[in-house]
Amino acid sequence: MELTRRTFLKLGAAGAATFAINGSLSGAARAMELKLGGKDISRLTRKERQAIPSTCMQCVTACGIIGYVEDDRLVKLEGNPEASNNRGRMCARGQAGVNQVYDPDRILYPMRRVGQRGEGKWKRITWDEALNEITAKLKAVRDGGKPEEFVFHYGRNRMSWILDPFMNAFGSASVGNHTSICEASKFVAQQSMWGPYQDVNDVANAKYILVMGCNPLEAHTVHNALCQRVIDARAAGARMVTFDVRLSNTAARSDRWYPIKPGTDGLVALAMANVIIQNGLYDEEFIETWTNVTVDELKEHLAQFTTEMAARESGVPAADIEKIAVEFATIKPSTVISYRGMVSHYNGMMNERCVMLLEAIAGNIDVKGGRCLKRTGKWANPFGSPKEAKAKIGAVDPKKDYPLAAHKVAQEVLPRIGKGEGKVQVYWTYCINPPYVMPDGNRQMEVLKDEKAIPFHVCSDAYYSENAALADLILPDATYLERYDPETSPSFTIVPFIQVRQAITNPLGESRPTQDVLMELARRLGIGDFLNGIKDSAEYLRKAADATEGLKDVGGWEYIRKVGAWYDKGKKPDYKSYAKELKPEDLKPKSKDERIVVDGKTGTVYKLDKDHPDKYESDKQYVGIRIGGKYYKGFKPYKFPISGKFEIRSALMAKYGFPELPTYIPIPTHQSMKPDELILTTFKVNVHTQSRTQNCKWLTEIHNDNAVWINPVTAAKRGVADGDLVKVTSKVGSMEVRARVTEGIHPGVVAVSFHSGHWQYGRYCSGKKAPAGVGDGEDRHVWWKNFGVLPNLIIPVATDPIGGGQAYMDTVVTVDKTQAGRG
Amino acid sequence: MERVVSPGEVAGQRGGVYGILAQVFLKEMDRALLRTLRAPELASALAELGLDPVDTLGQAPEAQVLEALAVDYAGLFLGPGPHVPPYESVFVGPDAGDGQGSLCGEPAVRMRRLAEEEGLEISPELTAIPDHLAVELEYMQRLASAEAEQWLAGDHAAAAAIREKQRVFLDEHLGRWLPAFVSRVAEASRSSFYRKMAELAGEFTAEDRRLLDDRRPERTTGSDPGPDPDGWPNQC
Ligand code: SF4
Repeated sequence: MELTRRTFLKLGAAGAATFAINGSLSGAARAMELKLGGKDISRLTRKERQAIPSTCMQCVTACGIIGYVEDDRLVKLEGNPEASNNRGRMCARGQAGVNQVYDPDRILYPMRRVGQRGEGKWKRITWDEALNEITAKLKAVRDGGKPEEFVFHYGRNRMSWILDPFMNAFGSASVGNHTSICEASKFVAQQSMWGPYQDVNDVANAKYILVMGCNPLEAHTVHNALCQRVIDARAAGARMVTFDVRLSNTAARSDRWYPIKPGTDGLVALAMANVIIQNGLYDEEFIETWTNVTVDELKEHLAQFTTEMAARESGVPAADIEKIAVEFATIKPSTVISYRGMVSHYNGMMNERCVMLLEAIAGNIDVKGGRCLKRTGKWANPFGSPKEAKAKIGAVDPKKDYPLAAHKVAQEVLPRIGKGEGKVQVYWTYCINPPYVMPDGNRQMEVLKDEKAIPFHVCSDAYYSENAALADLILPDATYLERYDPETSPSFTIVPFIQVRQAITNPLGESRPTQDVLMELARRLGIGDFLNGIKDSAEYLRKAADATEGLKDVGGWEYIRKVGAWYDKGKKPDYKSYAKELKPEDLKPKSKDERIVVDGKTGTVYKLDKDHPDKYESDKQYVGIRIGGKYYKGFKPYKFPISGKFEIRSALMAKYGFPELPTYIPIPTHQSMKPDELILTTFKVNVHTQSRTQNCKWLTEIHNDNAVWINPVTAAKRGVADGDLVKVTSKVGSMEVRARVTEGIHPGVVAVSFHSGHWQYGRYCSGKKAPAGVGDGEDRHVWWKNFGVLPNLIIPVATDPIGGGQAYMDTVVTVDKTQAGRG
Repeated sequence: MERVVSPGEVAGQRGGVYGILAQVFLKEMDRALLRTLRAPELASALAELGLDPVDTLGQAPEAQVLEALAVDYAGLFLGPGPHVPPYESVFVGPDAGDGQGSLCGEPAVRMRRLAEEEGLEISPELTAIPDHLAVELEYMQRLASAEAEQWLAGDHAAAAAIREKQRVFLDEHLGRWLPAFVSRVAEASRSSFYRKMAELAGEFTAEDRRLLDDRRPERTTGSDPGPDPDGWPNQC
């Protein structure tokens, strides 16, 4: 050997002098230091595991969990039996949360880019440097008098408790979100009819379940809570009928499955409503008392939606529509579970209005076993409330083009910034990955790369996402298992609950919860009055728990930090909450410049005050509704000032030129399709959540590749056999993907899951330790060789003009066998 | 002219090598470390090992060299970049293999326990996880130095016991993953400096492991057993 001990030790001799234990190297950090007195630690002693309750965030369901900690390490996650929604159960995604903490490609230090944006060269900086830089930039934005040029864009946000006051105190309402790439159109429809967004299908008590465009047994909002109750209901004999373009596991476990044509679910719901009305199976009391239409008006309006017409458009046989309608109205309780498959369309908002109508006439609104308003728990807020910021750039909330898009239009934020709809000085992304999750990812990336459009991009992320790769500064976020948030979720027991998210382990490396970063920035920017002296998220939560109604009586923080969840054990479900009568004091003005008035036509009881001196124009004015001389709580408006009745006829819709009654809006791009064109839809699998779980090795071992589902008839026409490589082409791009030939899909549709095809996000997602790609193919432990495709790259930005939702399920494509796929 | 090296000196020198390596991998290089490496004494010793700091680091101004090294260090050992996580857990353990495990596995716990048994603790300022390469290298440095002290103090049994500890540590920890780590760095490295330092660490540790196996003097009296012609390098 060339290098002898001698040469080594010569180095050692030189080194020994310089790097002695009591080293003279000034300022050198040492990995260890002598601890005088030492700890008496036996190698044989096994420490007991600690069990710490918290809340999962692998998806939005917010299941109660328990983390088991041994030697300061999280070793296992289980469901928390004290959590009333998930009742001790967890899905696979939740259990793999351990992987989020210990992902070897996790970002543990603040990083600043060197070289060009997107070049992939980074340098570690200290938190102090990072915070100084951000503080200076944000100060400049504020001092310039245009606070709205600071844009904060979030995805999964469970920290509005700090973000909202922070942005308000800063003075910017330029806050982007991600709701419109999920279910915004559904939410807007619900807000236009019964006030709050989100519903709870009380399936545990249902006997008949219609599933429209969703897959509750594999993935859903509030998935676990819903899924286990669907299973309970089925075990108790409930029937289930599923409309889905694809034979999902939910469809497969239903009594009947209808591969419906995309975007026609609303029409089928209208035809069913028509059958129910024509046959006199409707809930007359509800319609006449609680909606703003009469049975006769409905009868007349619905007559046009015959089962034959619906059958022609949707492909669901007329006789079946009739039969299901009668069953739905007579096997009670019944309810419709509807989600993205139905609302991620050009006509998504309207589809949901149609389903809400169907639920209403069947008498399912907020009744046991029906479609209920959400009940969520309420935490006390120990912060002050800064005045609501109003200034915002047009790009984050294009009301001029989408007047009813109350949940904004996330997919258009970057494209609009790129077009110059509002100047941006600082763009801060949090828990969002636009190049991957938004439609037309290439366009999204172009804007992110454009330093004129976005001069400074701060990204809070624990991983090197496709978005982080295009940042100027990456702040290493703590994972959800290392932080604190007050939590709640729509309750499936119909009794509201609260849950705690608390750090199960300390943030790894130098990662830091964004919550704490915002609090620190508020102090540095001199806008921290609202903090009321609270120094970090842990203290916030302690104070919140000790002040929360109900919880404080059983021990506040001491209770919830040990139990993880709290709800009023004596409380029973309060179905038909809208029919609760108001007390006389509810109808009295709260101050001397307030007046309570009743709208003679609609019966709405509302208050007039300084801000709203002469008319009913804000949900904040709502008091209740007068019906037949009595005063009720009614359907409390949210954002839109609706009447307080269940609004089947919508003045709001009419005001903006949209149909005032639920109707069928054919999808324009589907009306002119050529014979060889197909509709591309996307779906989720049961072990992944959108874009943020693929770095979990345990999950990606199970699902790492995807294929495009194609019907045998459709495949045969193209000479495609199972496993062939095909090219799927839309107007914005194409992708090559394996074909999965299966009867389990509508012949006019191809479908592909959307969790694969990462090109960053670490070794498990992309096979590359991005961005250099070293080790590709060498990583023997990543035994899977394919990382799948991402359909979002070929899906154009297409917005539901009413609800603002992205029409992910409308994309017109062609599918051809590739050269490589031949033979 | 040959000079005889005693086991105590050898242990001290071995500790010296581990000390240098620990400093190099602990964090981005700072001015003081750069100057030390470039100083004649170390530089010539490194040059003999094919790692002339003057060559490898170039003659550019300090600030520029440090900046370039910081970028290399970040890309290699912190990520994002070619990223070879310098943690034992990533390479060893039930869930690992060839650099594909997760952070903070059992090895991290064991490393912390081993340190604690020596009356050491991981510096609170050190935000790295306990099974970081630099910690393991420094642990070897400390054991080797402790061994040297025992030789000099004349407690040969204690010295032998510490040698055993080092042997076990190399077998159960550092030696198990360092070769894979080194080859990963070699594949990934844009910079010849870290690549060469990693190779040096790998070669030295392997050689040191052989050295620890060598027959050792068994004398139990006297201040220092003196040279052993079979096992010890005898000139310097
Ligand atoms: S359903 Fe969602 S919140 Fe519940 S365990 Fe699964 S991933 Fe976690």
